[in-house]
Amino acid sequence: MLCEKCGKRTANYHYTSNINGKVTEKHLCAQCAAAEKGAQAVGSFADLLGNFFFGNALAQPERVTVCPDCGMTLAEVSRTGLMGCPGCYKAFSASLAPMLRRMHGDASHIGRIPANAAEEVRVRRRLAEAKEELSAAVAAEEYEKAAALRDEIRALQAKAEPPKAEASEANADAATD
Amino acid sequence: MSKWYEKEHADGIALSSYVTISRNAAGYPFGDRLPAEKAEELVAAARKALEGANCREYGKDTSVADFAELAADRVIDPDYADADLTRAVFVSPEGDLSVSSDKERHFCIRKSGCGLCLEDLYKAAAEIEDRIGEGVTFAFDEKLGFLSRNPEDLGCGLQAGVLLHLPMLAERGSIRILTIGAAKLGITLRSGFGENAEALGNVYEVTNQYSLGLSEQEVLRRVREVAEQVIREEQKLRDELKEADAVALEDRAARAAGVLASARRISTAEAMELLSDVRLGRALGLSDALSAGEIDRLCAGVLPGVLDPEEKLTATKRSEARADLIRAAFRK
Repeated sequence: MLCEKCGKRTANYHYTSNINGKVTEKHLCAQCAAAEKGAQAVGSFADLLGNFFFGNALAQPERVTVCPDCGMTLAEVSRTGLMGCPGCYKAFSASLAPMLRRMHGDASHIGRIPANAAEEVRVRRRLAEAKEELSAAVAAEEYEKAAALRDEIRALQAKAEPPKAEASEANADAATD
Repeated sequence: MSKWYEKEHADGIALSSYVTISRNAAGYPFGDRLPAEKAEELVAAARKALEGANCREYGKDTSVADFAELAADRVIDPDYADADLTRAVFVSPEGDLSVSSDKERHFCIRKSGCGLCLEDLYKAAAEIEDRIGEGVTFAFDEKLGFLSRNPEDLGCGLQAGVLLHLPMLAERGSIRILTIGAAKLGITLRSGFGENAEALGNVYEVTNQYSLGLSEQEVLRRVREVAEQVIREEQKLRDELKEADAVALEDRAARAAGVLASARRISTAEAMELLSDVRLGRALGLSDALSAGEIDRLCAGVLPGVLDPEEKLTATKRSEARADLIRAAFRK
């Protein structure tokens, strides 16, 4: 088979790409394949993703444009689609929010938490789990289990929200909305 | 010591499984922003966590050939098989466990095993994660999960994959429809050797696309269930064909073995295709030309990057070296 591009040399490189079910095939010679690879590297996928997900990031009014932890600029994050350090997520949180929503929808982490995570994170996580277990126990009419869970939830709530004024609780609710 | 996949293992459609857990250290930059001395601290943390595991350490001076072999053996993520990207890799004696530190991830724990065994692999990898976690504070956010350089990788940071041998589904042209179905569940079905190339040797990989909003158990369950579904479809076709004309399959495996055992020049694609036929015959109890471990070893060994990592040979010389390697396996 001859190369599809130059039509002169034998095609030794065969590519099949499947993008969302759209299959395309290419048969190229070594030289044309190398040229093709170079072209792909220039118009890199990261740039495309950066533009796609970060399109609006720069349009957001942001107070912080440089990450205090690593010196990464917001412009660079938008261009590359990559963070400079874990602290960038916090520094650029307002600008990243729309991008993260586009990328992940409303998903939030539900897996493992690190052993050294803050106590309050662990308490909140267990609280959410216990509440779910409680509804399941009530639905299954396992009242003894439900009672134990209710006690655990009360204890956890006391830990998670030390006695505060009502106003701050309302704030906490608004923040989780 | 023999590699994990060279040990005697069951023939089947599911060739092997792997899990990777990616973690980053709080307060340490990613990529080129990470100063050398801080990078060394991370490598030291991994070294300490693996104390007593007899791991071999690959560092900056790792050759292209070593990286190519590590990638082909799936000891490390093939996308990071490059000294520019990977700072250090620790590999267990059998090659089934590795911890690497690269530009994208401070720690990448990877555990592989034969067949479909995701849950067991995850348990073993999570133990290593805990040990690294004793000396390092992982970057974590309650909503986003474990923080990563690329925001696409946020979440529980677990990637699970299963390599499947799907000659019948590929022959029927059913891969595309399965790919589309799997994508709806956030699961990718792609070529097992090389991401964009045609699936060499009819080996495909099932893996999760993302991990945010999924617990570890959910990632493992989804990948396993999609893999099981695909396995059932492939098995059905194999059984039908064996029922209809077993001799045709036996003939195909025997011819493939014949060519492999005697060829003096062979391309990667042809070698992989023939190895696929031998593998299929073996799985159906119709051929014992090569052991399952031997087929796996050859599938990795015949790839151009492994055969000739420094690209010293011409394509013709390479196909001769490939044929020699395969013939040697038959003489054993």
